Amino acid sequence: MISMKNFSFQYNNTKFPAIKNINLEIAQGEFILVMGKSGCGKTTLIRALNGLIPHFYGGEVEGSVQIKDTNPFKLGPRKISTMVGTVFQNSENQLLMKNVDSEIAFGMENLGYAPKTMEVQVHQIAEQLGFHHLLAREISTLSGGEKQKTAFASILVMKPDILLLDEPTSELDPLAAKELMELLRVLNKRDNKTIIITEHRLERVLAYVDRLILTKDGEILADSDPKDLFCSSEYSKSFSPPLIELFQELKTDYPDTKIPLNLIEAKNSLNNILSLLKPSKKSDIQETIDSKPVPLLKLDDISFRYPSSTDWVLKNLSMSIHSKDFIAIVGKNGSGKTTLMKQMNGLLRPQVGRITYLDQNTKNKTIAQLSRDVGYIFQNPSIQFYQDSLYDELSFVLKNYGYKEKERDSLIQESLDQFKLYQYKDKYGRFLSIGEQQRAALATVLLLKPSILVLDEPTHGMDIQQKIEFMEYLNIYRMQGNAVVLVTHDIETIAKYAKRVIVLSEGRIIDDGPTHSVLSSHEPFIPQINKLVKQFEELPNWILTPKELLEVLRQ
Amino acid sequence: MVKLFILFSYFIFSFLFNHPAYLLALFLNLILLSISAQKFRESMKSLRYFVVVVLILIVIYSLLNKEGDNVIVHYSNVPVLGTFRLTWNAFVMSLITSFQLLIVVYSFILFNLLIDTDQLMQTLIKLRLPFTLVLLITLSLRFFPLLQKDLEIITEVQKARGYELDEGGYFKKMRKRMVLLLPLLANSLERSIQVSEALETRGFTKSKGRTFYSTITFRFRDVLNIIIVVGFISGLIFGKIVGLGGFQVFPLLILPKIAFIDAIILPSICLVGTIQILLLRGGGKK
Repeated sequence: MISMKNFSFQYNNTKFPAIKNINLEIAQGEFILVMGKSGCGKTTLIRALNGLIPHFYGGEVEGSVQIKDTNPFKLGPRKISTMVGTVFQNSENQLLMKNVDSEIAFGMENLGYAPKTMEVQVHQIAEQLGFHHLLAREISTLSGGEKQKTAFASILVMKPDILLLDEPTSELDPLAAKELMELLRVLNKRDNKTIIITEHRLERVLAYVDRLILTKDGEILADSDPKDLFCSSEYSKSFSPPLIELFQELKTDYPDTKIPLNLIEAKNSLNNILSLLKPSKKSDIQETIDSKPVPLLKLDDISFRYPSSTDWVLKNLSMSIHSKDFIAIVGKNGSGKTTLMKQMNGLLRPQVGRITYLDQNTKNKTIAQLSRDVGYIFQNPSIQFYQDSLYDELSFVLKNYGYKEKERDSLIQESLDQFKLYQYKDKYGRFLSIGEQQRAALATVLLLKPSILVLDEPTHGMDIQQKIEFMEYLNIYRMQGNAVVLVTHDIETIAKYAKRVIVLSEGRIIDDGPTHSVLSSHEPFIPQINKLVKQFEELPNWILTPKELLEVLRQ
Repeated sequence: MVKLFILFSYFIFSFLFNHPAYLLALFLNLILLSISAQKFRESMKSLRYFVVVVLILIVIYSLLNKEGDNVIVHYSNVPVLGTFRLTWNAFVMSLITSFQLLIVVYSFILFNLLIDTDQLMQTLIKLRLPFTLVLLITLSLRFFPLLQKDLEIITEVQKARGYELDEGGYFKKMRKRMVLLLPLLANSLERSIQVSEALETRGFTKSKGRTFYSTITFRFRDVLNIIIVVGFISGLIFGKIVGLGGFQVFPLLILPKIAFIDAIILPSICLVGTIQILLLRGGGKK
């Protein structure tokens, strides 16, 4: 189906090739995951397969690519589009039309289908993906998951044999992500489509793929069955999702252990190990909550709706944030998470109820005043950069608060050192990697030493190493007596770091408590390890992470 | 498409005539159109803001224009201002200009409310404009709301960094807002690259052989309606040449009279409008 021989590619105006010496043979009907750290050439590889290289991105090509025995470089986009379909990372920016049905038809229009055929096809695909009710809707009114589905349908309708998906689940909540992966499995098994995806959240996709390609610095480091790869490659450990991390560890104790890719295999493997062990006693979790927490921010029975709408987004919601809190807010797309966060620093103000900071009503404080106490980190870090250099970026914030030049300089030095950004101080923010950008955002906000830090999807787009690094920074900040509140779909990360979890549903808090008790009891938000543990009577059912389970097993 | 023509004809009309009765008839037609499309409330909402502008306009115009012989008040030695002279002529003129403007704005509002971008695109294709151009127009319309959203987020980001956007005088505010421009631009650039990637991978090329999912079909009633519109416009232009529908404001105000011929034309304007709306209705697509 696809064959790449000694393929290398270098973008114009760069010093090094983005991918090099790629040798790949892909047969029809394979389901492949390409993984690697941010900036390792995954996206470039995808571009080489869908004709964007070299048709769209000029640059130097070496070696050859063959798709279905033809050289894609010699074909026009029209021909390629019938062989290879691509779903991009940002679904918003690949939707071009106003309505869902015309969006789906757009590709077929380009190929010159007859209007009657198009109409039939549009309805068929909508039926197949189960969103017939959306066809007449305007794209701007769709939710994130629905947009993703529309983008997917508009590709699928062109009937390509090969589907490329670049981080397809990154904007989806756990449930929507699962639905998408199930759908891909059907397309792969039933229609024999060749599917190639990239993804950082392996826990979401690993159970579905049958081949893994690990890339590092633009080269293919390993290419094999997922199980073998996680057994053999030491480098792969830095990508292991929790389930695999657990068994990689167990393998050091019990060398016969098989690495499982899904829950059923995991259950069998763990069963074997437990039969060797004496069933350990059920130990209870001691979730220590600081004995005398200082309440910082209090939301008292607030309700909020956007001025343009009559629907209440937040309904009679109360919560308080204490010093040393590490709160994760989870909920489906559209449950009001971001809206709730924006109440905390005054970007939005509730119509009903009141918000107090250290017992003072925040109603009459400006956003700028509140931002000294409540720092806010936005979802897309790149959107904040506008100065020529990182140094100026930080200096801008301090200027806003009237710091003198001398003070500014020492504060900035300190902050850049702390977040290991000193070497980038003269760089423009957008040119940094996603992990560095998020660190820069953190540096900017923490300059003012707020006592609460609010973050919207901070780990979005990060690889595991970047996540760990970032979360450690948050932890240090928290230990200094501050509070961290974050909104995320990244369950496995918060299972490790959060101390308290709030579940939001349709503008209401439906649960609020210690991480272990909340996460182990709310269906789409249950971490993998917890699902596994619950299958065994003898294991305590509060366990969420590999580390906790290993401790219990090694007692 | 017919809607486009009708609104356009009103647009021309409002410039041709300044007889208040004619303008009133026109305005009534537009209101009828909005009611028949069930957009009356919405359109009035948007119009509300404009009324304020009109009021200011009337005051300024009547104060500044000192021409005309029908004087209301006249002071010759006012300090600072010099001569202060308020005339009926200027006042009436301002009323009429505002009324004309009101109709223009109202037809624009209705244009926004009644014609969606997909329909506009199909119309443009029907008029045989090149598709690349049409796509460009629709894409910019499609991404405009996203741009607004971007701007909103960027504003929030800067506010959260303690930047006071609403401080100081008008020019200071303007200058302060420049901060938002660069990230907005960078973001749009990034977006445009992604959009063109998406276009490319979905087989979009400049070459021919493209078909269209939905096209506008002309029914008999639509053709009839367009003929009426064309007839209407040419009739009006003829009327204008003959000297109908105007009245004298300067230098001497002659109050408009409704002559016999006007008495026939005015109802017929309303009648034409009603017929057009009736033709538009009845499950018509465009």
